[in-house]
Formats: sequence, structure tokens, C-alpha cells
Amino acid sequence: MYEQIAANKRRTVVLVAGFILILAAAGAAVGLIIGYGWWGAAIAFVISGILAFASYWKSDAVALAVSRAQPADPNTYKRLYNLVEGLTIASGLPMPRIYIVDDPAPNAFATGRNPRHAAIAVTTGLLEKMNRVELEGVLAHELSHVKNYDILISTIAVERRPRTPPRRSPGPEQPAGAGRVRVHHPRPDPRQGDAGGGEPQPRDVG
Amino acid sequence: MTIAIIVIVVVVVLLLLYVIATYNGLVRLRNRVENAWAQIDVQLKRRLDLIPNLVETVKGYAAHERQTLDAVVQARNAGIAAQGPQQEAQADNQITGALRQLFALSEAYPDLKANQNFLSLQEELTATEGRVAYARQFYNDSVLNYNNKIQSFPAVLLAGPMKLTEREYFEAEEGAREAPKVQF
Repeated sequence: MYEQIAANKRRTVVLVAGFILILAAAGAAVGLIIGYGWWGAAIAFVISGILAFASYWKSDAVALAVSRAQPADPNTYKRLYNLVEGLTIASGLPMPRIYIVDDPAPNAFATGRNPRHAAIAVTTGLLEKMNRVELEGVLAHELSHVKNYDILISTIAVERRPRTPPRRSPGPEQPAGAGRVRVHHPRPDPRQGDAGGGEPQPRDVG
Repeated sequence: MTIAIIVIVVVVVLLLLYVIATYNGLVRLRNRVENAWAQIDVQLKRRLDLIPNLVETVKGYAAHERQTLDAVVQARNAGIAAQGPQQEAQADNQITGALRQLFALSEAYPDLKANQNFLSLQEELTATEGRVAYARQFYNDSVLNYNNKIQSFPAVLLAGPMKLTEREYFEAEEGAREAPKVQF
């Protein structure tokens, strides 16, 4: 798992560097065409550098603003805070900021450039439709994204089939709510699934 | 001749830096294990502190359920008085069992179940049980990392002089492996 984290950090560096270089090259090309030569490249380099770092630094604010997320009040959303707190104890992560998105569709995402500047958002639909154990499973998944230094937004669309009785009780090896979690994010890692090795698992919960 | 000396000096300096880094790493891991162990107690105490309020709330609606209420109070007292891991584990099991009995009981009292204070306490206690479990999980994970490091080469060479020894995992006591009985 730590190799995964290191790999993600490397990929982030490559992504940002690539972005800067491409823009610089484009700037150089434009510069050459209009006759300002290397000035074009220099300006493009500076601008793209600023853009790259701004988007990296502010990735969480952007993601939250786009989805119109509101900070979750700790008193209203006690259970949500309690669940996240338990998971942060298990994983040794600091407590992320928690946001609510007013949306009947069950959804959740994690964002932030590192665990100390992380934020997790859930929709009101998710809170309504999931029971405690299932909600914990979704939150554990989001926290694993935080722990993995995954600064890309991962949106988890949760599909739930209507329950047919009798309902199988979730065994300890089935991450709650994960059976029907379809993960949309560009990071290719089917191996990890919902048990991102070392991710806090809601195991042995009293 | 001077090149050889420079090379030796560089190598020695690098080795020294490596030793320092390893030493610091071991200190960090050992401290994390200590911290993780202490954090378990924080959660256990939190659970003990929530119980009196719960007992009072339930008494308001189901005062005649003496047996169950007394069991909870006794379990809490056992938890406070416990010394050493053996007694603590026993008390822990006792508390879990007594609380489960109490919450099962509340099913028969719809007024109690509707009481906001009761619901909020129930949520807190459930969450705290979870936190206790997670704190123990984190302690075990810390112990794993620590043991791995001090047993692996080359940190193992430093571990001896630093007097670092293997730590034990937190394991459930024999009695705790059985599910607490709930009677209706």
C-alpha cells in the first residue's frame, strides 16, 4: 500500500510537470510564430506553473464549490462525524473536513492534496438511503482515497438493488455497501477495489 | 592518497546519517505504539463516563428493571476499579454485555425509545464502542510496524543497544470471544 502511495505521489508530480511542459511548449510555439521567440515560452511557463500549483493547492475548494457542498454541522450530523472519527482513529489519519451536498442521489467524494488538507463530502441522499454499517463502508472507502494521496476527485455512484427478503446479513469480509459500488475515477486500480490494503476496515465493531 | 581519505570520510558520514535516520525512525515507531496504547484508555474512559447519564435516563422510564440497570452500574464500577489487562478485559466484556441487555430492553419501552436524550446516548455509546475497537486495531497495527522494523536488518543491530523489545498485540481474552448473552 505504501508503494501505491509513493506511486500516486510520483504520478501527481509527473502530471503537474507534464502540464507545465506542454503549456510551455505551446507558448514557445506561439512565440516562435509571432516572432517573440523564447519570451513566449517563458511567459507560458510562468502562467502554466501558476495554474498548475493553483489547481493542485485549491483542488479541494474547487471540487467542493462545484458540487455546492456545505460544511456539515457537527450537531446535526452527529452520526456522520462519529463514524468518520472512528475510522480516523483506526487509520491514524487526521480528521478531514466534512461537507454535505444537497442531492437525493446517493453519492460521496473525497478531495484534498494530502491527509492534512482533506475533505469528504456526502449527499443527503446517501445519508437517507444507507444504514450505519453501509455508511461506514462508504466513508472508509473515501478515507482510503485520502490516505492514498488521490487528489483526483473520485465520485462514487452507489447503486443499490431493491432488497429482497430474507436479507443476507453482511459478513465481516464484505465491506458494507460496497457490493454495488461502481467507482468512477481515472486512476486505474481495480486490484484495490474497496479494500485498499491497510484502509480502515469497519471490522470488529462492537 | 587524499582521494582515498575523502572517499572514506564521505562513506563514514553517509553511514552516520543512515544510523541517525534509523535511530529516529525507531524512536518514532516506539512512541507511536505507546501513544496508541494510551489512546485506547481514552476511549474506554469516555465509555465509562457516558454510562451514568444513560442509567438515569432509562430509570426515568423503566425504573423497575432493577436487574438490568444494576448490572450496568456494577459493570461500570468494575471498569473503574480494574487493574491490569486481565481485569480490564473482564470488565470490558461485562460492560458490553450489560449495555446490550439494556438496549435490548429499551425495545419494550416506546416512550424511552422516543426520548431524544436516550437516542443521543445510544448513538454516542455505539460510536464509542466502535472507537474502542478501532483504537485497539490501530494499536495492533502500530505494534506490527514496530516489530517488523526492529526485527528486520539492519535496524535490528540498533534495536539491541536501544533496548527495544517486541511488543505484544492486544488480543481478546478467552471469555470475550463468546458473544455476550442477551436475555428477554
